[in-house]
Amino acid sequence: MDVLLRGRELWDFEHEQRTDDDQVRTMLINARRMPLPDRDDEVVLMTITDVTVQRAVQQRVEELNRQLEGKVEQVSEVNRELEAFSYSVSHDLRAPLRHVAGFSDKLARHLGESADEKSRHYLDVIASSARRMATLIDDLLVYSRLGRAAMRLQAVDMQSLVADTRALLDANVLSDSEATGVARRIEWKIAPLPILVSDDNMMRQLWLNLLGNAVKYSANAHPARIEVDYARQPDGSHLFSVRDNGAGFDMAYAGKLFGVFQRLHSASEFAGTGIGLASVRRVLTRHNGRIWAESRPGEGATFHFILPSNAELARGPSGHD
Amino acid sequence: MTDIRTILLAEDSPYDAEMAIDALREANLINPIVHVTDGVEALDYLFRRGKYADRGEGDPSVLLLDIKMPRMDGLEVLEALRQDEKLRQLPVVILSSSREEADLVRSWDLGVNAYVVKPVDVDQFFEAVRTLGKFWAVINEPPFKAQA
Repeated sequence: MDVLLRGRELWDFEHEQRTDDDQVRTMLINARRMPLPDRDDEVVLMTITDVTVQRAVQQRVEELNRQLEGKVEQVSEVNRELEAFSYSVSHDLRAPLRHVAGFSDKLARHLGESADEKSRHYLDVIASSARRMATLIDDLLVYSRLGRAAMRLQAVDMQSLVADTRALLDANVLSDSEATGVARRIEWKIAPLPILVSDDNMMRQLWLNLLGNAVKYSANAHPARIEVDYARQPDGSHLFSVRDNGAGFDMAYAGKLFGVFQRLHSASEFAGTGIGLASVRRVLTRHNGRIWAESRPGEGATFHFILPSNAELARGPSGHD
Repeated sequence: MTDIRTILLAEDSPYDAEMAIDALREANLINPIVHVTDGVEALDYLFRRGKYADRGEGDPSVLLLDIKMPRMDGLEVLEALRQDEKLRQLPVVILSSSREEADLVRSWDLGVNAYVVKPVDVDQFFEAVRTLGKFWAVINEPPFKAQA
């Protein structure tokens, strides 16, 4: 009526209407005056659309989004608490550990020559267990820091990073050989690698862990062969792979591969705490990337990981995994 | 190296204190070691207050300072010292379990002379404390010579 009488227009006016069979429908009304071509007076052009279903869906979507935001907030909160917990636990455990190691050392010195073989053995076990625990705690602290520290994104030259890591690992292998008298030969094949925007420190951790594992688990291969490959993907993301010809693992247990302190080999076969791959995965998650692996026992392993294109990375790294 | 000054150790853990004192002894240091268990006692000693009101002359060659202590922590002690006309020259070495960036930044801002994280490894711990003791108590020329 207003449209006709006062020349006003109605745009996307929502009106709820009760139908004959007592349902409530939402109607979308548009109306305006319209002049006719060969007459002086005007008519009203009105469209009425039943948007009941659309409105219901929209409300449901808004409701779900609200719930989702609530859940995301809860998860973030839980993650923050877990971080704080794991940090303070590993930090507070160090002092008593130092005392266990320190005082067993004092005891050993106090007993001196009068300690029999059994006593010395017991003291050795205490000392080496304390050292083991210290390593686990340190690893846990590093892992926790990877999740907590703010990311500093900059141009990182993967080629030189990998070269540095390889040099470090080669030097370690050499000094181990000198100590044990057993020579090891490692053949490296490294493809040209790009410069990527990422957190330099985290990338160092990543390469050290992946290449370090490759070196470690190919200890029984003669010669050990380690390959690093790179390919730019059609969507702009960056695919890397690290392949070795070492011990490999059973894919049946692949789900455990990236778990904290999870291992697929016994400590007597290959030393380690099982935090390396968990750390690598954490680094990748914070960069919005991901990692997976393929292997067969005795036939080496290949680790593939993807880093997103610079554009995706710039959109903002995820706070926690 | 004309006079023998004390080494002041502020450490609330009796075990860490025992290990530190052992290490200093192992370095064949003859300096007297004064052990206090929190920040309030450390300041009492340095300012000659409370139970230390009548302590002897002279000031320590170095303060080995833990951070996490009850009543008053190491950083508060450091702040109080650096605000005092005379004691702001006192060599202070923080010896703490914490490698937290916040603690490091604050310590260096307050003008600490050195920041050493307590090693968990026993040998490294002993080595660190021995080295600190030998340097600050023997090799380094301490301040306050005129005012002792």
